[in-house]
Amino acid sequence: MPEPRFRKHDQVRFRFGTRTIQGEVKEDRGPIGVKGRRLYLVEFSFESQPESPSLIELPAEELQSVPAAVSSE
Amino acid sequence: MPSKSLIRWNGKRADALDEIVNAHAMVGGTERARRFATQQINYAFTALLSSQFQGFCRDLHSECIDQIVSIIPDQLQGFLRLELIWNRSLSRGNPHPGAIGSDFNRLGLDFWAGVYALDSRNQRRRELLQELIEWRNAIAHQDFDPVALGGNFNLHLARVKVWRSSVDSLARFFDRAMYNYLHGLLKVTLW
Repeated sequence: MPEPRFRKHDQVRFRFGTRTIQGEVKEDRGPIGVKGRRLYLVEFSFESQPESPSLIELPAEELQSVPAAVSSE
Repeated sequence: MPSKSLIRWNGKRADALDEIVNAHAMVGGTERARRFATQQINYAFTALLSSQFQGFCRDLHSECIDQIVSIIPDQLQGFLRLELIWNRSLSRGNPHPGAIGSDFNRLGLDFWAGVYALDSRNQRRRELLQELIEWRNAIAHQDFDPVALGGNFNLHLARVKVWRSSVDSLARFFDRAMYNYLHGLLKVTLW
């Protein structure tokens, strides 16, 4: 069984059509994907519609981790 | 071979439900105190049963989507993933039969017809699922409508066990109905 690679609130990037989109992990759905791959529920918004977030479930291998921003203060 | 969702239902989710049954058996005290305590446990059992069954249905729906999406070109997968969980009833509300049907129907089948075709007793199980959801809502909102609940507010363990048995059977038939459908549609080895 694949180990969790992301946690809730992690920032991730993924391909969507021709673009790369950034989103936030909302839930680890567990190893319920094809051949037991782990799925994650990710929330994201299109730049032009930040007030209307969307949800998508993606396998771990389609997600890239986004390093947390370091505060300059 | 069962889906990952059914394996989880029979494992972790069943264990959580068994813990409530064990708690029920361990309640002591006077007869009156015990009756009150077990009533509250039966309410908790009902709410938990509904939520675990919702979790199973949502898992199975996600698992089916991943199967469908995995056979189409990579660059198109995102659109379909987004579309198939958009506004999903099982992500927001109770697993009442209408919600289950409308979510799974969006995968291209007549879901309940497929479930009934496997075993005609599933029609009665569907009615029992609806009854479970009505009780779950009454408990969650503390609004016990005598008409909806058949005029009796006493909830006995035996009744919750009947619901559990029904949704347990439904889980197996949901799994089988989706296997049959997806295997015919995708022509690939599933799960």
